Amino acid sequence: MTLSPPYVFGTKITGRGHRIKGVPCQDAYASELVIPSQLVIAIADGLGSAPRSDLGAHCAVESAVNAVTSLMAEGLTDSNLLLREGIVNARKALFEKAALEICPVRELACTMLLIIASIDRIAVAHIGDGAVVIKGSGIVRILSEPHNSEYVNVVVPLTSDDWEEALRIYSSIEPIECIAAFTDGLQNAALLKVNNTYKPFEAFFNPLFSYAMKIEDIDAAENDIKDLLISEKVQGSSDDDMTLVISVLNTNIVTENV
Amino acid sequence: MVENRKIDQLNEGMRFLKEEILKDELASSRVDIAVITFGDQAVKAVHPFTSIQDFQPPSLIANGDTPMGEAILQAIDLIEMRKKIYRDHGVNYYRPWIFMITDGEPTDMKKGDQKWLMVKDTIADCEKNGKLLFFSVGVEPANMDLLNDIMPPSRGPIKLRQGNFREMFQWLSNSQEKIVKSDIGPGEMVKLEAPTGWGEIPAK
Repeated sequence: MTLSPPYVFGTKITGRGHRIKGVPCQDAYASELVIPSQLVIAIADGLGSAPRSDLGAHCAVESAVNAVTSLMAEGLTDSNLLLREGIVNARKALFEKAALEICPVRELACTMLLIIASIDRIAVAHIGDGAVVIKGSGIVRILSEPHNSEYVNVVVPLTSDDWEEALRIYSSIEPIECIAAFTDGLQNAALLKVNNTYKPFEAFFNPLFSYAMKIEDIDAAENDIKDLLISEKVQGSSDDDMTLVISVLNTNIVTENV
Repeated sequence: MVENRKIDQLNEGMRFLKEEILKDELASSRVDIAVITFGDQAVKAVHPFTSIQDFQPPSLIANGDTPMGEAILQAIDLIEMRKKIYRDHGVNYYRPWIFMITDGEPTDMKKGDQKWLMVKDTIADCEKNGKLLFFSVGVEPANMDLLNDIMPPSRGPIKLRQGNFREMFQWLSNSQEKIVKSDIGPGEMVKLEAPTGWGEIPAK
């Protein structure tokens, strides 16, 4: 029997380059279902130049999700405010962690994608690369694209003094079926860049979302996603860590794209 | 003018560079290279930008004058043209490097003249605005004082230890491999190995 939405599943894998060098996966994600039907999801990608960014990424996603869900429990409903508080708390947690670990906060540097979603709306706060692609009203589109930096290896992290200028918040009120959020390791496989604009690669997302809406078991689905990420084709696109988190909000909208 | 033995070592070094970068799967798919020569009163793009797989290391010949100023300006133009091609085709790219190797001193400009100041300012602007990174290597008997003057404030020239071309190209290859695997914050630099194995950084 297929699962009833809302549900979230995902996986992360260590990039080839990191496996060779014995570097741990520097991606992290966390999610929480807020009764009755809101999802809070955070994904972080630790910077390769930051020696303890795996620790930073874990700390950031846990803090962001905890902050948002706690404020929701207190009755706060404004998505933009919730997201901002989630980001501020994640940043604060990184500085506290750095003090505890006695290391400069830049050693914990990571990106951040924070999402609040329900059946009829989505809001995203984004610092750095990675992206959020949604299927809403039957159409697959990118909601938050990787940061706009001239060089592909330069990214403004959550720990930066310039984080406020780098923070982008997007929201949309529309029927939401599926959401895919992922780190930059998956960008080459999942996005096309045409005239300096990113577009979702439909051959990647249409079957992915179609599959996600019919799953029967979260563990089995996470294994399937892992198989996708370690497939030769996807691995050939990047040797970076990869995280893919998929959320399903509504499976009742039938469209020609499925 | 570079002596024949040195130019042979330089040519061998470029072939070695290709071999080394090709050993790294990721770097071999991401490093593009072009070669400009400056000698005999002419600046020549002897190899256009290509992928490292398609790079045909040229056999250079030592001759003539050293129109270094013009060569630097042409290299900067070539990079900007290449960037535009990347942007037009949706290709992500890294901050480019200019890696200048010389055993002479410029013959198309003199320290302090109009062209000298223009070239120096152009390099400094490019560095300051993050457009590229400019490295220079002086091979004996290069005029290191002049190289030092034209370099950006943040980076001096490197003097090649005699005959250490191969080690220099090994460093260049290692550095490119590091860069294509890096994630850095704005204004940060990828941490490179010190060039101590093949070069000396003269005191300013």
